[in-house]
Amino acid sequence: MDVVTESQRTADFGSVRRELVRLCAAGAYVDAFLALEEATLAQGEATGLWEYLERQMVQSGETTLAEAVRTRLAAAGSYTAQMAIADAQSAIDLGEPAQAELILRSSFDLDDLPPMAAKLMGQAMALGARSEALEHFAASGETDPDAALAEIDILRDSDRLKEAEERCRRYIGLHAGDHRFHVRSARIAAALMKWDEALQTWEHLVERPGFPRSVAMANRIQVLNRLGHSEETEALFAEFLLQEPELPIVVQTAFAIGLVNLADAILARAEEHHGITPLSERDWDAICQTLLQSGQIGQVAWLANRGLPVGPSADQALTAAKRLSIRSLESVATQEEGRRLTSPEHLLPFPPYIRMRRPSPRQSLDDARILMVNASLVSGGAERQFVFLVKALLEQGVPPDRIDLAFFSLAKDRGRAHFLPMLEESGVRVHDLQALSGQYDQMERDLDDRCQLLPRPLRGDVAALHHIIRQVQPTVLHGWQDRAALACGFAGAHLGVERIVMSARNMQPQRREPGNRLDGKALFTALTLLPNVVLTANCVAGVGDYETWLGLPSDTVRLLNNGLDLKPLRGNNRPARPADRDDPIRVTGVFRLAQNKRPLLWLETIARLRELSSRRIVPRIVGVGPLAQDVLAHAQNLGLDDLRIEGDLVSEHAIYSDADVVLLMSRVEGTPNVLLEAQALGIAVAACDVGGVRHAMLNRGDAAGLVLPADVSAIEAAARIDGWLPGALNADPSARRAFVRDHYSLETLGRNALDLYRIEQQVRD
Amino acid sequence: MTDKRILIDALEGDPLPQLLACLLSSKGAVQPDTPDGIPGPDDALWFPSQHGFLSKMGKLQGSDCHINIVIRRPSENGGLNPDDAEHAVISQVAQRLSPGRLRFHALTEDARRLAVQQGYSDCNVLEPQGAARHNRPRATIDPSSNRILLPRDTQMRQIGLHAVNWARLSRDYDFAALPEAAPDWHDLARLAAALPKGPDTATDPLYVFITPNGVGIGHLTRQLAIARALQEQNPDRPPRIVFWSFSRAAIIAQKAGHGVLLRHTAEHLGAEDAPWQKWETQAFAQFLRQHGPAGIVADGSSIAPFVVDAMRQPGCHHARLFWVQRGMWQADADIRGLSDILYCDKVLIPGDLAHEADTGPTSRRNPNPPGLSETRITPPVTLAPGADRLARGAARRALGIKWRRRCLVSLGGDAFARTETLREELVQAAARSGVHLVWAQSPLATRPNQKDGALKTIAVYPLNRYYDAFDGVIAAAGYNTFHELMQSCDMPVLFLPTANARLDDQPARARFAADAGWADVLDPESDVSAAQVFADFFAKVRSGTKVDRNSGLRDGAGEMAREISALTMPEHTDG
Repeated sequence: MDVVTESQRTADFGSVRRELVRLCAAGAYVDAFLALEEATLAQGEATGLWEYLERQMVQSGETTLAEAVRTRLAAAGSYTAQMAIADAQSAIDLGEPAQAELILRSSFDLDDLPPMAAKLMGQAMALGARSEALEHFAASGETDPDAALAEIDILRDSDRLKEAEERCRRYIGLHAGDHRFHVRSARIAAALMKWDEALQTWEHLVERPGFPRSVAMANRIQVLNRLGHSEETEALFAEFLLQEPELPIVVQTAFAIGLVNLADAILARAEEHHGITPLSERDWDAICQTLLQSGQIGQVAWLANRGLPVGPSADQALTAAKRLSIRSLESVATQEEGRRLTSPEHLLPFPPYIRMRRPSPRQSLDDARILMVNASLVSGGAERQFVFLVKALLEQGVPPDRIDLAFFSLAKDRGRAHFLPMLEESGVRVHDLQALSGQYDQMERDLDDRCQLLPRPLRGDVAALHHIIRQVQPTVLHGWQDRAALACGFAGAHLGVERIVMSARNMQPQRREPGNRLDGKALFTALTLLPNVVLTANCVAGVGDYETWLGLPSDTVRLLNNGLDLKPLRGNNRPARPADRDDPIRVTGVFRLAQNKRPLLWLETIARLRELSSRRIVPRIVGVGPLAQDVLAHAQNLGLDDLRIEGDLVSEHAIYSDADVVLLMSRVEGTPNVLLEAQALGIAVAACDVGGVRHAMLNRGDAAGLVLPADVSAIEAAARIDGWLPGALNADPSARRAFVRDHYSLETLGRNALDLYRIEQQVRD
Repeated sequence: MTDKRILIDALEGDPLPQLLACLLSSKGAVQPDTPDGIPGPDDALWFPSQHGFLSKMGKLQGSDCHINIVIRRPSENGGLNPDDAEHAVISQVAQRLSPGRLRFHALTEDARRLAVQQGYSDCNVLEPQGAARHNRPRATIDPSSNRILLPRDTQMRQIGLHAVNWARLSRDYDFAALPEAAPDWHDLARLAAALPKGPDTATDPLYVFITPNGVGIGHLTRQLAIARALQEQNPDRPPRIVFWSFSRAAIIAQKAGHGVLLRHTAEHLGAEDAPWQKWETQAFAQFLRQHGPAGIVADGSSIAPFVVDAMRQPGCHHARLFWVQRGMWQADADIRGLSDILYCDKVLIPGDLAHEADTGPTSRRNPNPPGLSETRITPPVTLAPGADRLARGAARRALGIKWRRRCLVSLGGDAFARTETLREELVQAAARSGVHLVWAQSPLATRPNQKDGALKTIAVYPLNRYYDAFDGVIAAAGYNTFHELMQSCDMPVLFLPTANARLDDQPARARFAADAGWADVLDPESDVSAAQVFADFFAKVRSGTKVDRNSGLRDGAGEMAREISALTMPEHTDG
């Protein structure tokens, strides 16, 4: 063993240190590393120099070398907090959040993380979808805008929107100059359906210096469009186009508001001019992502075949198409050819192994496993019907453990769990598919490839369903409403579910949204032709509408009438009101305050009715919706100062107890539950002749409902109502109750559903 | 430029810009709108659709030009035309622009009524001026199958919906859309059918010859022969000829008195093919718009894409397209080009004396849809010197060669590499036989071979003017040389066919001549050695042998010129 004297050691330390400083200054870090390694220094002295070298390496960006030094220091039992932070940052940069988390957990006390470590821990956890990340971001959010944004985004991602809103408000005050908080604020407001607030924030951003004006306008346009404010949408869109916005934003906005011909024209121009004024690769990537999401796979192929840099997502999709031997995409030479190749149409007809499947056999209740799927449980008629269907099945003797319910989202803050309490006590299992994100199974290659070619939201829906179908292994898969029906059909057909029921509602998508290219028509048709799939609609008009739209022979689409839970209504039966001239007539509208329900026409009809009627007319609306402000303003203009608007009422008693007449003026309807419920309570009903309205009304005798023309004016409607009212109010209400009981009971609904499921029904004593 | 221009915005896949260009102007004033150009205040800018206008609106703010927008009806059935919002946006735009700057048009009265309902109260119908033509066969638009059905004789032909310029098509066809087609197709058909009878035959005709960058100068020589025939057949009003030439031998055409636009291939420029095609298309389209040629004569194994693309552009509908398509392709030749037949008005196949030996794809009927075209096979086309052909003495004096047995060696351009290996053997055989060789240098040759320094070399064009100076000819068996020699010479000929030609089956042609007793051939597949072939051949040359080929000279170029004139000159059409 060498004996080193004090003077030698000091001299060695000094020379080594000088050499180290010189080499670091020259950027010769490898030489410095070797020099230090070769020097024979005592551990205490060496540590200091190693730490110096590590800091120098970090500062000059030599992260790999710095890591090697830290490893050496750690092995020597000397590993500082700064080194741990640097290693954690490095792991995050490399996309290894779990490694970063491990480093930080090993190096720090989690209850007392220094700010930088807390921030990194938050990032690591967020990347790993861990909600604990919040705490760590919260610690530094007040001083660090990035941490604050991460905190908000985690909350948004977890659908904790109200908390996100609260944090965002706080941070806007602290980081006033940062646009990003305003953008978050607008998006959160929109998610919470605080439309006015969202619009105001985007408007503020339109004028805010430094923020891209066209981006703010595009977002504002999309909110206005969603609210159905067409005139404002169009005016702002004209203004937006005059700003010469970037093409990806124009294409996305044009698709979002349905201006598909314009989007096509923009694409054609961009492609044609690419050789002269090329778009960036980033722009093409963004455009192609919009196209893929919109089902425009043919146009993506056209751009790719023209040699344009379509981006990784598009490349991946086209490669998937190649694996599926979809040769048509390879030969797309013109935009017109591309336009004709849309998704999911180009995936049809289904492969023979799906088409040749045998019709599902009848099964006993013991063998059955039912998976029912809907988008959410928002406060709506269709969602309420979904709940009733579950009840009806249970009443038919289906054990709760044989039923699984899945929803694409049950986010409470978004109002998507409105009816959840009604299901929670039923004993059926409820799955929130959004909460399962990140837990999806690896799909089979063929289905994965097909999935990559699907438009939004079908692609995500199928991926989410794949997981739950694999888990539940249902014998019956029931998709409720168009979106869930298509996703269930597609996923179920590919995964070999024995029986698939697709329950459409009252009218085909083109009637609701003319011009929508993503109406699912071809997929509906292809699915309906499969021997193990059945399509239903909830009213006679809906059955005919779907059959005509899909070009199917009559009797292909089955009728599955709505059902009504009459039990809660029984105690509310009220006697007919005497026709006392002094009593007011309370006219109630129960509908969402949206364009399709024509709330302004409803108000105008009431105003005219007041002029005509010898009785006092008292108006009341039960409902919420984007037109709430417009309704209030219009009522004031019409002098309907006594109009009451009541929002989210759930119980039938609260909704109907104060009504003599229920009036709807909807432009579109299916089988309106409102009319059924009102009649079940004996209340007189009047509505326009749209959708399944006529079939949902008692049509004989004095108690019959009043069917108004579909495009009736307020004057005409008021006149007809005025003539009908006296008889209707004096009629025996029991006739209405009997009508509903005979045609729309839960028992009927349950029996019909089991028949569709091909499940043997139990014989009841 | 201060002249008023009519700028038409054109988007791919829409035939209306083509029809508008025909409707609005004859030639010159109509131009396509450019990506970044800002129209002047006197310009009239036309948008053939409302969405086309909206997609470019932002760029128009710096201009005060008049904007014309054709309001279209839906082009798809089934409610997939969400145009209402577009109209509303245009209405908003109109409010933001100075009054009267936007003018709205419709294609038919039905379309106008719909436009008025949509808020375009001052919309007018585009009415073609002049007399519409009648009694033409009907082209039926079938959008669902992406094609147009064309009756021809007793057959029904079809062509892609956007394969050719509709304005070009409208000269020969009436238009109608299938009843089930969406309204816009009916509107387009109505406009196409109503286009006035324009000058479909030129009073001052111009022809543009597309000359590819071939291995030899065969394309150019054939085209020169046709050009000369066109001018000779119209001595009072000789048409102007311009060569759009990728051949480096274009100087020959210029010397013949024709205009030459020397172009560069993507390969010449080292450019990517796709952008080159775009630039070349634009350049050619600009030429077509400015000069409005009566005919385009392309010679080659396919029609260059830029020609087809340019002819589809607005304002480029005047010319008829002729394809001079030589036969005798190699059996394994790339035949994809044969499908270009559908773009042509006429395919002119120069006859080949050796056609019986043709076993390649051109020996059979072209299996591709013929589209608009008719096919004619003419007698062989050569650039006959006629009265310019020099007698033996004059030819020898002109070439500066002495009075001995002379044999011409004409093996084409630098591309004939295989024959280089025979050169030495050939020279020695000639020397042994007492025959003096005279080497013809191709116009495409970059420089004389140093080895030839001691040998007599000539560089003249056309070479056949001087054939009588020689007692024998050794040549490659390319189309032109073969037919010149076989039709108009009686001296012994030895063919050295090159197998390098990408398309031309020279060996088959040469063997045919040998079998017929017209010539000798150095056949690489034969057992006879090259030395023996040369010795036998030079013996004939030495003895002054004459060969009776009895094939006669027929005027294929003249017949081709007449076919072209028939479709492009008044005197040929009025009857």
